[in-house]
Amino acid sequence: MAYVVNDSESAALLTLPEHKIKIAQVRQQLDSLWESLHQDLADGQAVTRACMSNLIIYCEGDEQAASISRAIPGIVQNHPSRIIFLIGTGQTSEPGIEVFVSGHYCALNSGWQVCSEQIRVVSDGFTSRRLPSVTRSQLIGDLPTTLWWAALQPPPFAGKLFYKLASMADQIIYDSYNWNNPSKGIQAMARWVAAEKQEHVIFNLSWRRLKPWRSLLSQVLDPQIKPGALQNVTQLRIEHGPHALGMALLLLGWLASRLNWEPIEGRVALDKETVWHFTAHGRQIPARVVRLGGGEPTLHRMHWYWRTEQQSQHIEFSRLSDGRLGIVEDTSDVPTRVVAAPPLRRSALVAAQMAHRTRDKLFEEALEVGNTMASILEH
Amino acid sequence: MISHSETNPLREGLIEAQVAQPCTLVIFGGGGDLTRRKLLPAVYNQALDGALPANFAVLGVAREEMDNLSYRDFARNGIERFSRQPMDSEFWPDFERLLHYQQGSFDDLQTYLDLKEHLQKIEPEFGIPGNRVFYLAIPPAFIETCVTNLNAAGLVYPTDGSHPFSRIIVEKPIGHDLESARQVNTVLGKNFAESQIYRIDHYLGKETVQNILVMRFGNSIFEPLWNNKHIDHVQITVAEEEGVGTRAGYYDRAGALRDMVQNHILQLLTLIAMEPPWAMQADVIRDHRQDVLNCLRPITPDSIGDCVVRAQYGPGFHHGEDVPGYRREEGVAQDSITETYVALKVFIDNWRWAGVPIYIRTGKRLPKRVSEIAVQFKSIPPILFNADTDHPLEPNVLALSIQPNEGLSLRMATKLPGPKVRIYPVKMDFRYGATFGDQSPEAYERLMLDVMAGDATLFMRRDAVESSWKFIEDILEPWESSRTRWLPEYSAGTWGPLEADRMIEMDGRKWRML
Repeated sequence: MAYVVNDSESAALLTLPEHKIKIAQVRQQLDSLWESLHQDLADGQAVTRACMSNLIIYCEGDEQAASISRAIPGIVQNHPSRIIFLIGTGQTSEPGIEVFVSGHYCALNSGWQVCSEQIRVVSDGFTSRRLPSVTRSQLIGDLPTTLWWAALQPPPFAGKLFYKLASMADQIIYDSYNWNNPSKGIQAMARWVAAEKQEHVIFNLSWRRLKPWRSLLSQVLDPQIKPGALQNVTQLRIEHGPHALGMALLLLGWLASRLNWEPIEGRVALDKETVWHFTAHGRQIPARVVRLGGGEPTLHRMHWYWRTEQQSQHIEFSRLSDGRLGIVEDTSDVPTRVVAAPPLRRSALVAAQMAHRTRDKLFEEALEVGNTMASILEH
Repeated sequence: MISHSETNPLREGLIEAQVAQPCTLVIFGGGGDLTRRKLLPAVYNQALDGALPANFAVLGVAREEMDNLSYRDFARNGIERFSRQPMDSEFWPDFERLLHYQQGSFDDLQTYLDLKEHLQKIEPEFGIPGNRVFYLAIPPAFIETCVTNLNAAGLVYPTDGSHPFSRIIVEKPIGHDLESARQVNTVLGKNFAESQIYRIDHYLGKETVQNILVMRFGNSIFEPLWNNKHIDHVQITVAEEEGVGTRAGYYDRAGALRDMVQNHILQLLTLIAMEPPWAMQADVIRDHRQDVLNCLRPITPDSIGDCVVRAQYGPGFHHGEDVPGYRREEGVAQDSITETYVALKVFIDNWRWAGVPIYIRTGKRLPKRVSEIAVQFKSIPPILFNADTDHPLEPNVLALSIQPNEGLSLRMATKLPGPKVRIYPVKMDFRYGATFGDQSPEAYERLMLDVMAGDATLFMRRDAVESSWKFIEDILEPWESSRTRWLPEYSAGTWGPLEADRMIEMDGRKWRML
């Protein structure tokens, strides 16, 4: 599936102009935004507010902030929220913290509906430790709170700032895409997730991006359709684009955890290729993860090999253009099939995940195996 | 059929609610209006959303002369006009490959033998392990011959766990009365196991209807109040603004009671009134819904005059335009006594609902298209804020809106700002579309996926269909034996006849303004 990096949302939302204010004035300023909407309306119409969650977003730098800003309308259109948008190392006009408020709203038959009140807090980097306290005072009570950790470093690497923000949230969303060192990131996350136990719902957007792949693999390799394909796998090969090693490891972690494969060895064969060996049913299963020279930052291809009594079998799953996945079986009469795997923007991924309120056991197990794989690779 | 979860660990936890299994969807009546407007657009939307199984195909069977290519044009035309999501030209070539067509007559066994051959050709091409869903989008008169021939042609597998699955979806109406419903069910039962039969009622696929269970049993604040100590009455309204349109042939033989009450409305009633199920399993929920039908107080010849009103629309206005009365509609007999409106007062004789009237109204040519279930709570005592008996406070009402806007609202009393204590009723509103933003899948999309996943929760079981008919027949029989030549009339574009107002007003209540 496609991952749209610069997701300029086409949400049918209107955005109120942003006002720079003092922190203490947030409430008054939001009230006056509402007032301005009321004034635009004729008699008998009303401004309503839809609000399902608080969403704290943390990122670093103005470039990341601009990218997140484009995603926000798409999130709140699907999941109306109070947005507290924190920029850890941003450009400020004077030292310290600057606060801006704005809102997103849409037209209903009976007037306007506010889908988001947005409070954007920019820190010059030296004052980022104050961000948790600003955040705490702006949360709407009695609503679920999600922290979307949109910075490029794995959350635990940020130390206290992350832990303090996480303590206000029920759910933590992060994205292993673009991590400098995915193996180290997976290890850090796996340790933190294991320590967290029931505290938070923790979620990696890359896991959600894998959903069409997981769905397709589970259907096509189903024992009823391909007897022995899961049980008698002999090898597999995963090809991914730049920055998508984390996704490939998660997919492999998922397969290993579901199929009871135990990772026993991992080595970097070439600069662009890593080979793991798993054991299952007394056999070794080599799994090659290969980084392609270019292409989009996602999974591109998977080759699945297994053996039946008669012969070796092979299926290739390929990512095609326009959000489709193709299946080629070169050892059967079933011709190529193509299924839709609708491309999901980052905003859609975040909004969809915000609606989930329970921990994902499968993800955590996949992460745990990923952690073991990373440890093996290190030693 | 082997259960996936037992043998395929990759399936676990993949899709929260359901896992559609690889299959061929065979649509009898594949060239008809229901297929064009609802079924093919539903399949297309499922495909666009990536919800269909990877190994899947559609085979339309109908009398119309078409081949695969013209059938794909037929499908495209329907999808372009009626699909929830717009046509995606890039994706269309992949989708249309799934669509196949076979011409044939439903009453000819050869059609089914050809179908078997056709399926055996398609299934290997799409990697489908022989699972089949047969959708009967055909007139009720063909159901018997269709299912008998399916079985005779060897297209129905046993449910012994060692074969692929065969499932059949049957559209309403199931029969015309209790006897014919039993006949249909008997024929279905001779050829398919009950677990293979999915009697579809698209109302049950709507989000709000499914939300009834979540609202009742996922919140702690409603269930303690959900009984005759706190609920004054319930109103169920299913109003249509259209007239009989092109359905006169069917409708004039059916009428509002058969068309709406026997299926949709009684099913809604069961969800509102059922006891808490002990598990979210199809048969547990259906057992509890059945208990409600078992407790419906029968309408007797003595009570029918107080509890049932039927009427027919006369000429009037629709959106400011003149519209004819029912008897002047094309295809309707000029002396027709088919009811286009019915209002009922029913009781559920069990511990929870004893003495709580449930008022039902449904009709054509009403002012607007709206379906709603309203639960009105008892008034507070006539003291304190409600001491003025001339102007009693309006009671709390929890209204579940099913269409056109799915959602729910709660009316409650609140103080108007100012120095005096003035009470004003306000409405707390929740709308699916406004709150969740995302487009909800159409009811047919959800229900067809349920069939592919083998989940019968939202489908009617045989006993439910027959109990509903039994209840309805106590009304139909006196009507049919009365030999009346005249029905009360209401002007098109109004909320029904005066007789219906009188029925509820006799109890000191009134219909809600919608």
